[in-house]
Amino acid sequence: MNATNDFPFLLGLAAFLFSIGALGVLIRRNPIVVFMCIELMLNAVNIVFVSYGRYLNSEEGQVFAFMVIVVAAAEVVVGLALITQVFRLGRELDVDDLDEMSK
Amino acid sequence: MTVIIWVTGALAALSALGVVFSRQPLYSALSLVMTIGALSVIFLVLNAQFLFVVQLIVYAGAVMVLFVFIIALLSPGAEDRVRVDSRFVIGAVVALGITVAMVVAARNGITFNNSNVFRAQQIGQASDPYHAFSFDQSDLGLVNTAGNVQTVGGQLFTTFLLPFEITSLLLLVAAVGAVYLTRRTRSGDPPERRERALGRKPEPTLEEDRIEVEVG
Amino acid sequence: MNTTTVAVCGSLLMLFPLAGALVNALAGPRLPRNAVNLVGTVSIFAAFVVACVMLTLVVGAPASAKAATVSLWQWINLGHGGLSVGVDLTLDPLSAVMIMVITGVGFLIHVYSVGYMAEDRGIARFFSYMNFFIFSMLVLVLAADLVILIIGWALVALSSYLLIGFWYERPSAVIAARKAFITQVIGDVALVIAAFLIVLKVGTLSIPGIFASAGSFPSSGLLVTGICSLLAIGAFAKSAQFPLHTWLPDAMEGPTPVSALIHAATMVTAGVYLIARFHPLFDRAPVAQGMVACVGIGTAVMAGIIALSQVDIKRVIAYSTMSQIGLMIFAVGIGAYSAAMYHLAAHAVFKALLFMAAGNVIHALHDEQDIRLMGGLAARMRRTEVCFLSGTFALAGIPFFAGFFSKEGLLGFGLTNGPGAVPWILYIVGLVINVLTGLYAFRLWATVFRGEAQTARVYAAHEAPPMMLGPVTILAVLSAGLGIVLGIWALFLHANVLGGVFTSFLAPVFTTATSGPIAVDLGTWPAVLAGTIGTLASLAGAGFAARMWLQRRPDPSAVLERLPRALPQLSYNKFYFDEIYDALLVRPTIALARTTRKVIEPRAMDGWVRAIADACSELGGWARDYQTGLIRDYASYMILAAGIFVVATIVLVSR
Repeated sequence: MNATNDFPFLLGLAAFLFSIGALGVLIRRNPIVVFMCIELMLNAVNIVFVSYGRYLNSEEGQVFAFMVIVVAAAEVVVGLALITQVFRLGRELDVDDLDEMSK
Repeated sequence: MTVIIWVTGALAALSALGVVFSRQPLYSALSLVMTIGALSVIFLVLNAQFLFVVQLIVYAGAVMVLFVFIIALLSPGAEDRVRVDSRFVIGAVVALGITVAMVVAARNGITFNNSNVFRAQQIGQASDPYHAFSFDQSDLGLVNTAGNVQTVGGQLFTTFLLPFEITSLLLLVAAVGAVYLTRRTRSGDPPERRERALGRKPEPTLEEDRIEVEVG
Repeated sequence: MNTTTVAVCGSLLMLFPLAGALVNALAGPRLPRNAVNLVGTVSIFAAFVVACVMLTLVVGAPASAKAATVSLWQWINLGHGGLSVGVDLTLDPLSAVMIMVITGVGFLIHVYSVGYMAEDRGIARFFSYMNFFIFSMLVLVLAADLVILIIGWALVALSSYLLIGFWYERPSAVIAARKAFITQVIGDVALVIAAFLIVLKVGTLSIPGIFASAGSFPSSGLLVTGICSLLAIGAFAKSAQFPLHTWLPDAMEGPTPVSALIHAATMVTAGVYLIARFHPLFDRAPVAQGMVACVGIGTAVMAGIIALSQVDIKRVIAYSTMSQIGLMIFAVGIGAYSAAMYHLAAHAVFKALLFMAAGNVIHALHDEQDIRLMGGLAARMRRTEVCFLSGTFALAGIPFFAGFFSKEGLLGFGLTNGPGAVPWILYIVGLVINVLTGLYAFRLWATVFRGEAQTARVYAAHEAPPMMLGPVTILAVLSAGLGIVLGIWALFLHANVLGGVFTSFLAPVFTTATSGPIAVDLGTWPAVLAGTIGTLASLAGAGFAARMWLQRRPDPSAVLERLPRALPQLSYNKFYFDEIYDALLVRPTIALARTTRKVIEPRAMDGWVRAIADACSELGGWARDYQTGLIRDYASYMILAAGIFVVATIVLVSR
C-alpha cells in the first residue's frame, strides 16, 4: 500500500468527523446525543493520532489514542451519570432546559 | 489497501451524518456504532492492531452498550426537526471551514515555515518502514514489530508510565464520581435535593431528618 | 572585641525591652498591676546590665579595636554587586555612650513611672509603649546599616506618637501626637532620600561601607553637601530644631515620664547622634556643617528667649531642652563631636532630672502645670526642691555641675576650632545663650519653689512617694557628682580640663583618614579663658534671675515695662511659629483640599471615573446578552473560536 496517497484522505476524514461532531453538539438538544457527538469528535482526533503515528514510524500516536479512549470512557461514565441524575430530578432531557447558569 | 481505507472512510462519514441527524436517539447510537466499527477497520489498516481491538471492545462494546442502556432506561422521545438557527449556521460554517481547510492543507502537505522544517509528506516518502506491509500478507513477524500489544504496552509502561498511571487514577475518580452521583440518599428524593442545592429551602436540621426517616 | 560576644550582648540588649513590650502588650491587661510594673522595669534593668557589660567590653578593648560590627543575618540581598542589607550591629564608644544613656536614664525613668502612673488604668499599655521605645532607640543607635537605622528612626517616632497620645481621650493630646508624627515624617523622608543618594553614589548602605568609600565624595561637592543637608533635616525634625521644632512643646501633652525619657533624654538627641555618626560625610561638606551650626545656635537662642516667658512648667523645660539640643547641634556642626556627645550625656541626666522633679510638682498639685499658680513649694517638697536645684545648677552651667563641663567645653572648642572667620561671633552668641540659660533656669526654680504660694492647692501639696523620689535623687546626685568626679579626674589624670575623659574615650570614633583625631586639646589658655568668660556669663544670668525673681530687685514686671513691647510678645507667643505655619502650610493645604473636593473632584475626576464605570456597565450589559446560560450557546462560541483558530493556523502555516 502506498499510504502517502491516503494520508490527505485520512486527515480530511478526521476533519469531517470532527466538524460534523461539533455541528451535532451545537444543534442537538438531547444530552445523550450530544455526548455521542463528542465521541465522534474524540474519534476524529484518534484518527489523526494513529495516522501520524503511522507516518512518523512511531507507536506514540497509538499510545495517545489509547489515552483518549480511556478518557472518553471516563467522560461517558460521569456524563451519563449526570444525565440520569437530571432525569431523576424530573427534568426534561433537553440541554436548553438546563439553563441555571443564566440565573 | 487504499480501497479499504476509502470505503470504510466513506462509511464512517455517512454514519457520522446519521449520528447527528437521526431524530431518534437510538438510531444515533446505532450510527455511532457503525462509525466506530468503520474507524476500527481503518486503525487495523494503519497497523494499529491493539487499538483496533480496544476500539471494538471498549467503544463499540462497553461504551455503546452503556449509551444504549441509558437510552433504554430513560427512553427519550424523538427530537423535533433540526431548526436552522444561528447555532446551526455557526456550526455548519465552522464544520465546512475546518474540513475544507484541512483537506486543502493535507493535499498541499502540512508544512511549517520556520527553519525547523516539518514536512509530513517528505518524511512519509523518505522512510516508510511499512511500505511493503499489506493487510493481505499475514506476516506475523512484521505484525509483532509494531502496533501490537507488546510494543504499545512497552511504550505505555516505560516512556508513558506516568501519564498511564494518571489515566488509571482518572478512571478511578470517574468510577467513584459516577457512584456518588447516582447514589440514593437518605434525605428524600431528588427534587428536594435540587431545591436545597438552589438554596430555596434551608438545610433540614437533624430532628427534621430523623422525623422524615421515621415517617418513611 | 569578640564579635560573638558583641552579637550576643547586642541581641540580648534589644530583646529584653522587646520582650517586656510584648509581654505587657499581650498579657498586660490580665496581669496584676505589680506584675506589669515588674515586667516593665526589670526588662529595662536587664538591658541596663547588658549595656554595662558592653561598655566594659568597649573600655577593655585595645585602642585600635574599639569598634566592632557584627552581622546578625542577611536581610536583603540583590546579589552580584546589587544592594545588600544586613541586620548589623555596631558597638563602638559612640554607641556605647548612647546605650548607657538610654538604658541607664531609661531605667530610672521607668522606676519613676511606676510611682507617677500608679493611678492610671492603662499602665500595661504605657509600659509596653515605653519598653518598645527603648527597643526602637537601641535599634537606632546600634544599627550598622542605614536601613536598620532608618527603621529604628521611624520606630522611635512611632513610639513617641503613641506615648504623646497616651491619654487619647484628650483631643489636645491626639492633635499633639499627630503634629509630632507628621513633623518627624518630614525628617524621615529627608533621611530616606539621603539614603537613596548614598546608594546611588557608593552602592551600599552599610554604615562602615559608606565611611570606607567616603573618600569617593569630592570634598564640598554638591552631592555630599546635599546628602549631609538631607541628613541634617532628618536630624532637625527628630531633635526639634528650627524650622521643624514646633512639635516638641506640644509633645508635653504626654505623661511626664514620657517627656523625661523621649523628649528630653533620648529621642530628641538622636539627631545629634546621627550627625555625629555620619561625621565622615559631614567633614567633607563644610557648607552643610555651617548650616547645621547656624541652625543649632539659632534654635538655642530662640528657644532660650521663648523659655523666659512660658508659664507651663513642662513647656519651659521643653524649650530649655530645645535650646540645649540646639547647642549640641551647633557643636556637631563645628566638629566638636565629643563635646556634643558629652553634653548629650550630661543633658540626658539633668534634663530627665528636671522633668521628673517637675513631674513630682505636677503630681503633688494634681496635674497643675501653670507656674503662676505655684510658688512657695520649697517648704512642702524639700527634697524635690533640692533635686530640682541640682538640675537647675547643671542646666545653667554653674561650675562643677554636669552641665558646666560639657557646655563650657563645647563653647571653648567653638572658640578655638570654629569654622572660618566667625568663631568670635558664634562665641558671643554662645555667651548670650549662657546668660539666657541662667535666666530661665533660675526663673523656673524661683517661681515654682520660692516666693509666696499663689493658690491654696500649694498648701495641700505633699512630697512625692519614694518610688518617684528615688530616681530623682539618684539623678540629682549624678548631675551634681558626676560632673565633679569627671572634672577632678580630668584635672588630675588628664591634661584636658574640660570633658577630657570623654573626649579620649570617644576619640577612636571621631577620626578620619585624613585628619586624625578630631578631638582637640582644650588645655590651652584660650580655651580656659573662654570657659572662664562663659562661666561668668552663666553666673551673671543665674545671679540676675535669682535677684529678679527672689528679691524682686528689679521687679520682673518693671523690667517688662521697660523692654520694647514686641520682645515679650514674641517670646510669649513662641515667635508666632505655630501661627505662621498655620497660615503658610495648614490653611492653604486645607483650602486646597476643600477646593479639590468641591471643584476638581466633581468636575474633573468624577466625569471620567463615571465614564469608565458606565462603559464597563455598558460592556457588561452587551456581554450579558451572550451569557444565555444555554450550554449549546457556549459551545457554539467555543467552536467558532476553535474553527477560526484552526483555519487561520492552516492558512498562515501552509502559505
